[in-house]
Amino acid sequence: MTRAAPGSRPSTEGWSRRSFLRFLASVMAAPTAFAFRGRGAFASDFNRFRVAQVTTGGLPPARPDAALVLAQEVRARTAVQVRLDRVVVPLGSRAIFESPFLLWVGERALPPLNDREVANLQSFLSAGGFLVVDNAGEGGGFSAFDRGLRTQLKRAFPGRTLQPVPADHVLMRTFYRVTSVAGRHATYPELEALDLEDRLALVYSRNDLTGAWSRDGFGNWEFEAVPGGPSQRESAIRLGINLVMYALLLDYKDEQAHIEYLLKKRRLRPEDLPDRPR
Amino acid sequence: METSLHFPGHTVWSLVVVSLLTVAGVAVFWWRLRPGRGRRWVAGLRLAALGGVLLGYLQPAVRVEEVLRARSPVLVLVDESASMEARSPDGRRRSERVAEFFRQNSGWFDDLEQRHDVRWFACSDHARPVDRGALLVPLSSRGAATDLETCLGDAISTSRDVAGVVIVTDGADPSGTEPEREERAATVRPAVPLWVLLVSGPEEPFSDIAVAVVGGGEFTLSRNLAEVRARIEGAGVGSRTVTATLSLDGEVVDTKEVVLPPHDGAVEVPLFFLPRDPGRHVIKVAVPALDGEASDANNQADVAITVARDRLRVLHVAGHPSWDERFLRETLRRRHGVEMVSFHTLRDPDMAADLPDEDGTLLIPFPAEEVFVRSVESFDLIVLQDYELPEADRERFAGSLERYVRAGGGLLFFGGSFTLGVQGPWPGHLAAILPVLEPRGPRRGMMEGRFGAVVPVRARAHPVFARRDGPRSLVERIQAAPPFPAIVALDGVARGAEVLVEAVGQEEVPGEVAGDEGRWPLVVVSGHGKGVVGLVATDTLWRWAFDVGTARVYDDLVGGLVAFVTKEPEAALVRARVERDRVAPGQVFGVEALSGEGGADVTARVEREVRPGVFETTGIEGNARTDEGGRAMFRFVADAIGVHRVVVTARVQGEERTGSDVFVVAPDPAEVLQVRATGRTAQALARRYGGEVHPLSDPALDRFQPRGESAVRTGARAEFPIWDHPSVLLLILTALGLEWYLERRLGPA
Repeated sequence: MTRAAPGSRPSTEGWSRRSFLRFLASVMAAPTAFAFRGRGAFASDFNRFRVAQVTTGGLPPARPDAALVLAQEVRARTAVQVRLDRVVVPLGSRAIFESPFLLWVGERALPPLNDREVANLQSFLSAGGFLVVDNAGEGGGFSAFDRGLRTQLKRAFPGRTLQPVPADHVLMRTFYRVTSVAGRHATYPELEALDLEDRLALVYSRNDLTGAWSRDGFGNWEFEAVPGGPSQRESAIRLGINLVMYALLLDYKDEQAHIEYLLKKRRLRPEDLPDRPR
Repeated sequence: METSLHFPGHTVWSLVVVSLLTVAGVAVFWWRLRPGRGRRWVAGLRLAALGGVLLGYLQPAVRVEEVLRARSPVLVLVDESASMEARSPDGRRRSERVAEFFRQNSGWFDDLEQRHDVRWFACSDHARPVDRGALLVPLSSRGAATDLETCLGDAISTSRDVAGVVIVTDGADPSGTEPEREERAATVRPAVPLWVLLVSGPEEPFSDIAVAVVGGGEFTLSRNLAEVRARIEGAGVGSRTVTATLSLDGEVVDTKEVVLPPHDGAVEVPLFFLPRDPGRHVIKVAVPALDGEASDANNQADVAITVARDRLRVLHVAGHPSWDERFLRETLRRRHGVEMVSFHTLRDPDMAADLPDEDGTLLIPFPAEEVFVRSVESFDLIVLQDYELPEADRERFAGSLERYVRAGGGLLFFGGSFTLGVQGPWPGHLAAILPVLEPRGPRRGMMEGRFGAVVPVRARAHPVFARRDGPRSLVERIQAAPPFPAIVALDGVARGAEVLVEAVGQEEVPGEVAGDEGRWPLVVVSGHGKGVVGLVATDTLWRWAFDVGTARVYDDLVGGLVAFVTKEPEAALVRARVERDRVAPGQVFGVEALSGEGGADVTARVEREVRPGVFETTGIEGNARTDEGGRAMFRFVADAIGVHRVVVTARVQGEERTGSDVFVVAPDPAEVLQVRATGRTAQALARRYGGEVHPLSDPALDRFQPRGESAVRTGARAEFPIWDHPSVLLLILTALGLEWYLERRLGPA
């Protein structure tokens, strides 16, 4: 694992002064919002997007800052109203139903899910939830998590398997046009996904996506992105944003391609309508 | 009682043959008879014996029977079709002239009734018996069209031995072609005197403009421009420009200037309209009536059309991507037949300058002008979800939305961060259509806490809650759903708005004073013009959607709201359906009422349009009880010509609910188009039946000679044979014995 050297100059790739100030302001905003709780004049906190990290088997969360960084990037780059807080929820808890977007990062062997975890996973995805699974493991840990994940998904969704996400899937252009699925590294050329009712319910990355997002306590990038460096990291962030936007919009972008046609094909001539200048 | 001689088993011809043979035989015998007194006796005896034999052969009998000698029926048929409403040059309606004719000739008809059984009929597409007195006043027009052949057949079928027929008609008969009439005439041809009296003739001056809808409107889709082709016929009015007006449900939707040809002829003109709501509607094409027109009833044509919604066209505009937007959009898309156009603000406009790499995004500018102005009428439903109209041209866009709703559009607001004064000013530009009021004082924005949903008692029978999940009503399911965490602070609802769901704080909301009895409006609907607006004052209902246990509650609530706001016919709790969209005057028609509840008392009443869009009751109504399927049937008789509406009222879950359907009472278009009296049909009738045609002004009634009385056997028949008595045999034997004796004494005769 390649970590940024301690004490080195904070990395500024994709992280401008303005962005950092925005991040700072957003972190400040969360407690400020709570200060107004009950007095109105602020948006519904419940409807704000947040990234909750899910854990299983009592394991501590891997890449604990990645979820917050992704939320910050979404807040900085999109119109999505984001709640910036660190939320870690056990898969076996009802709390996973507080946020339809979950991030599950694994880096070592996955203990078998208990029945409650399996049931929650089924319900979460069937009800419309979206789960991003990132394999952040190295060597044996990578393989062990990969095997364990596939086994547990077979348990939860018999008859369904992870399938490669095509390069032209709407996920790859739902906000940014993304051509690479690289994370901290770029070993695998494609994402895999579990499809439920014509939507991707679970997306699985094997390139340590969250490793590319992680910052340390000083705001420095925690790991180098290899081999692409800053552009690979930016691509990984864009992929993360696309994952969020896909969860919120699904195939909205596909629909956009047809709107002009839909509007044109309608037999509606303004000059033939009342209240219109003839 | 009448008696008559009868020869059973013999035809007239056999009697004639026997008679001729007998006369010939007697003549030959008499010619060959030798002189002498005694021989004449012998010959006489032989003839007597022959007479006896003939008596036995012919078997005569005396028949006794009861016979009623009745006055023979004479049929009087009077045209009551719509063309009889046309005016003669003297300004009187044809039906008025007919009534006057019967009054003026009452003496002649009295005499006729003395001599005959006069049967009176009013006649259009069929004949119906009427009293003579009914003919002394103008008949109201009935029936689809004049069809004299069918009328004649109907009338003749009611009588035997018809002695004569008098037909009073205007001579305008658009029923079929001449060969078709010939074919039908073969089945009803009466061999009786036929007297046709023409109210009006081709020689009379005639001017008229008539309108008929000849095409379009058959396959009309909501929110799609529809075309109607109207045929405007001018006769005797010369070349002139008239204005054709198309109305939809009483509202003018298109006009066209039409130039009529210099000579009599017709012009077809296309007219356009935009049907907004599915269901049955009435379109009317009209041209102004000119002075001295034969008929002003045909200056307009009413046609009922059924507008189908092939798909629900939804515009969904969201202020920002969110879970509330995501689940609402999914619910809308899951509905059958939804064509959705979605726009979400994916990035605030002021963000662009901050970002180093703008090129990587795939964002398109929001075409506000296109969707809020140019194409706004193409949508059945507009959903504004946590969305504020663009600042530039905000008032104009708001005005366009207000017009859209007023004209019949459906609008749904979903609250959230960016609207309803949560983070900005109250959207006063939408005040005309918002069903809720701006909060006064400091209570603004979003209130967080634990809120339960409660459906007020008065709203529980609202159509929005019609959907059930097995035995559980939607109201029960909503009230049992988990609490939601935030609502938009509101200060009540606008006048006429209806609160369907209220939010009730389940714990104290910090810094908040509860509204009336601790409840806040959560789901509100109201009407605006012809449209409906709904509002959901929270952005957290997605909590229900994102739960396998309550996802159906969310779907049903949103589905019910969409159906109500877009006025889906199937969403109404009580529905009425007239079995035909066009009924001829006097015709029976059925009305189906659907209330969804079995054993419910249902009332149906028929109303008639008296002014565009204004209906008044006709006094025709009925009561029934629904069957197990919640269905009740009514049968009514169509009254006067015009646009009608059936209003069905039933109590559903204790609340009185109504449904309605429109239909048109009108004759066939050809009947009102062809009011010119050509007399061709009358001439053809007279020619086929050997009758005569006379103008009503000179009816020549004295020359009408119906047949005489008719005899009808009414009692039992009895026959008494007069040939099989023993004395006849004795007579024959005695004659033959004496003849034998005398011949032996006197020699052969």
